Amino acid sequence: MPTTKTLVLTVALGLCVTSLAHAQRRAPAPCGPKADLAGELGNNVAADSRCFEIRMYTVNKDGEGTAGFDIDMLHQRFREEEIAIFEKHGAEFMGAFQSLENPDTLIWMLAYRDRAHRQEVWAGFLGDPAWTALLEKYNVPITIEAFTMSATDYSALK
Amino acid sequence: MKTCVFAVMIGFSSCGIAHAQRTPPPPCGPAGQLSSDFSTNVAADSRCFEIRMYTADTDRNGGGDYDLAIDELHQRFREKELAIFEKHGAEIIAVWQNVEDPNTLVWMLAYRDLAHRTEVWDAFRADPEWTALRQKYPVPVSANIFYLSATDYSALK
Repeated sequence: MPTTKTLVLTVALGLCVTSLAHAQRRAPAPCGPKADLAGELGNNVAADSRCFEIRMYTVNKDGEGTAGFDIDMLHQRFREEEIAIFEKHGAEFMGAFQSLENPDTLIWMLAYRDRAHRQEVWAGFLGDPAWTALLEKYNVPITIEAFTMSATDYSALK
Repeated sequence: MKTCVFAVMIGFSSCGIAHAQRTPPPPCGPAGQLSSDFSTNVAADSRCFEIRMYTADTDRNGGGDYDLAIDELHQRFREKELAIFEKHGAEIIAVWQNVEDPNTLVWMLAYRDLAHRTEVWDAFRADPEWTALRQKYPVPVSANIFYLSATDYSALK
């Protein structure tokens, strides 16, 4: 029995270490113009593509946040200042949407010049006292799903 | 143990089928056409938006003239799929390559509202040009679809 326990613990630790290693090893994929992308990933990408991101935020009702938090509060945070702060730091804000399948999901889209620009924008955003204050005012716990994309050579928007 | 794994797999695949068949899209478009659960932050003049993520089945790699099924799928879009949708009244906002998944194409459409979406898709499916195009580039895909209305504070509406 002790042997089994040790084994289970070892396996659990092993998995844990593996996933940590995985998380740390995995730098975000390049994003933006064709020339920035590795090999086949760039096959259908425009030479002048920017880096696009679709972010889906779902309110985590079991989480802890500002009293009375809900999807309306999250939308208000965006409406009031979150978008303006991102624009101040150089992102292009393309649109913000309400998911029609989950009332608790907000979906929004941004564009950056490329991956390096994305990192610059986010570092600027996260370090901005206006963001800290806004988050304190409207702390809505969310789960995030994000997709990063480059535009194809035949896309209207690039 | 084998039986168990098999049962789980069957469980997953019927979930997938149920999900695919669920498809009747929800009301979509201006705030006035949505239920109160969804309309609060939506623009009165929002169109109906759809994001579609197509992951190409890599078993098709090497099929047709293409080493990669995803390249064949992009070619189908480039050559005519977008044009057919536009002919039937959809606006194509953009088509992308997901940079974290080499096999996934992402595209986004806009319609006036759900009724317009239905009209566009009925015409698309019945169009002989689409039948011919699909025969030319028969890439199986799994689709992940999102229906959206624009918020009152959105740039794009």
